Amino acid sequence: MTNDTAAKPPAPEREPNLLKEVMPGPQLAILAEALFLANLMIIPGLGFVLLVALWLKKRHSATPLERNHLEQTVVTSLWGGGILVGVSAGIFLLGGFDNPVSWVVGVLYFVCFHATLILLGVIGLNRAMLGKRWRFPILGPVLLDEPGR
Amino acid sequence: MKYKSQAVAMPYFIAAIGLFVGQILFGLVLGLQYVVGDFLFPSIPFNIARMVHTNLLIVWLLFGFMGSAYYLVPEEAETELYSPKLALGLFWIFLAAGALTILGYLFVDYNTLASATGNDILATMGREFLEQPLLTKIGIVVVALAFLFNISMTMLKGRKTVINIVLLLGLWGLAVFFLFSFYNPTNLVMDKFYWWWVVHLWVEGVWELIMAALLAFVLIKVTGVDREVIEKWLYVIITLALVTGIIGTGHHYFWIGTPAYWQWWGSIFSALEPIPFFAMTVFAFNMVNRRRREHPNRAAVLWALGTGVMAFLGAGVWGFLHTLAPVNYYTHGSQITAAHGHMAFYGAYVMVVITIMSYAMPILRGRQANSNKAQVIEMWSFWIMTISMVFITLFLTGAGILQVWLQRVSEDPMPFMMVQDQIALFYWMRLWSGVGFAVGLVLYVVSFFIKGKEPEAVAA
Repeated sequence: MTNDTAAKPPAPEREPNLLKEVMPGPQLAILAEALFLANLMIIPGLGFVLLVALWLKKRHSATPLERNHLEQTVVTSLWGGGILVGVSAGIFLLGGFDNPVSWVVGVLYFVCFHATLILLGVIGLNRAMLGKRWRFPILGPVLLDEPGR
Repeated sequence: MKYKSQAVAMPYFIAAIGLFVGQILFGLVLGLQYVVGDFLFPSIPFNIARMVHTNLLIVWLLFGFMGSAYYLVPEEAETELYSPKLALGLFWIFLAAGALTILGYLFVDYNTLASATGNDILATMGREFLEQPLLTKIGIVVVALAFLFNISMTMLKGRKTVINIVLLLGLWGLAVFFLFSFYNPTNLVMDKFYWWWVVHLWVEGVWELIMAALLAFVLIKVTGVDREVIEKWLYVIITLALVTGIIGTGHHYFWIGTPAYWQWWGSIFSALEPIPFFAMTVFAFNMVNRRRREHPNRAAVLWALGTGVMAFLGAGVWGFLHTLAPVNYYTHGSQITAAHGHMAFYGAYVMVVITIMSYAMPILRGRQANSNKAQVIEMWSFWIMTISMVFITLFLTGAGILQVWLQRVSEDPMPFMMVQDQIALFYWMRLWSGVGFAVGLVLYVVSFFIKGKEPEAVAA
């Protein structure tokens, strides 16, 4: 009589969770930062609506780290978007659409400010992926344990 | 270094740096010719200086890629190079051919050069970036094939890693697409159509694979992050690069006589082209943030991070700026293109080659990293060159927007040369930024000659 247990091949080791391995941080925080970037790059407007909806739904149940990223991305989207659109509109309204100076200053301003927000978003996304807190310089709300809050 | 034969990378890197210096010198000559039209005329006319500037860029980057491959492939394959002698022989052949070509541009009338080098038999010359005489083009193919034979044989006899496979895929693609430089239809539209198969499918296709592989290799070495994690990023990046970049070729087909459907294909796919560069930025930051040790070569880490950021800005953001067909209708071939070209080449390819040189050169010279003093100088050169390039790009963008307005949007459009006078202030500011870049490059070269005590690695 053969020993069934001994004849069985060893159970294959479970495949590691690759997503978790690459991104050990909380998914909600990563999603918030990803929506912040998507709003800037692929789905402007819609990305912001989804981000705000996520914040409204999860802000009470989120962990402190998740809330940190939700708050930072929502507030920075509001301020950043306002400044981006507001100053650009101001440049064209003050300078006039028929003025080449408005286009030189306006386009350069928009591209530089927009790219800065994206690069800050990349840093935020990385912090979220690594499970670390993050504050957007100047535009993001002050963190709880920072001096002055 | 782990394998003796990796040493053949050293002459390639030295030649690359030497030619880089030449490229920047001609860049300064060009910058001055934009504002002082007859500077060095008739000894070095604008068209010749431009040809030397762009050809030197391509040649030194090829030297950089080949040197990088000779350093990287044996280490990844865990075996000595198949034939170090072949690698050294090819180095001298390529250097001699490159130098003769540049001297030919400078000292022989281009028409005479064309007829003396077989252009009457097979006409391939006279096209931007592919101005090389037929003999040089054949030489490039021979050198490329022998080089690919050498590194492919090395990989076949050793370990096959994802990094090696992606790098070889990129290098074979580079050689294959160069073959289209021999195809020169008489129909100008067809000529341009296939010309982009070399130019675009190099820089927005196969070169991105080379770039991603080099960056991944350096990041594994300097961060100590698991190879598996980095390889997964690499898969994602090269997939994104090829999916967006191949059909993205269409953004060059606007308004040149090709069918109108290219406006849709080109706009949609090239609008997605920033994504692989964005992924590379996230990748570089992610790997450095989760590093397991503080590598003593801080300069190499800085160059790696800088590559991610500047490639995204130059190739991604500045590419997107004028890639949609309705925008490109106005901006096609203006100084906005020049702005994008400068920052994209610097961010993506110049910086990645410097990244691997910065990592490998100290090791090739017998130490893990240069002294702190040398690294500080190198990091200064990083910041000076990078900030200067940002300003070059901003001033060229400003020049381009004004050019588009005066030449193409205004109700009373001005002729090209009159517009050039109007945007001279931007050219002057670009020239001074170029001087700043040259200062940074001098510091970079100086950093190789500074001695001192080697710093030690510490756990992160």
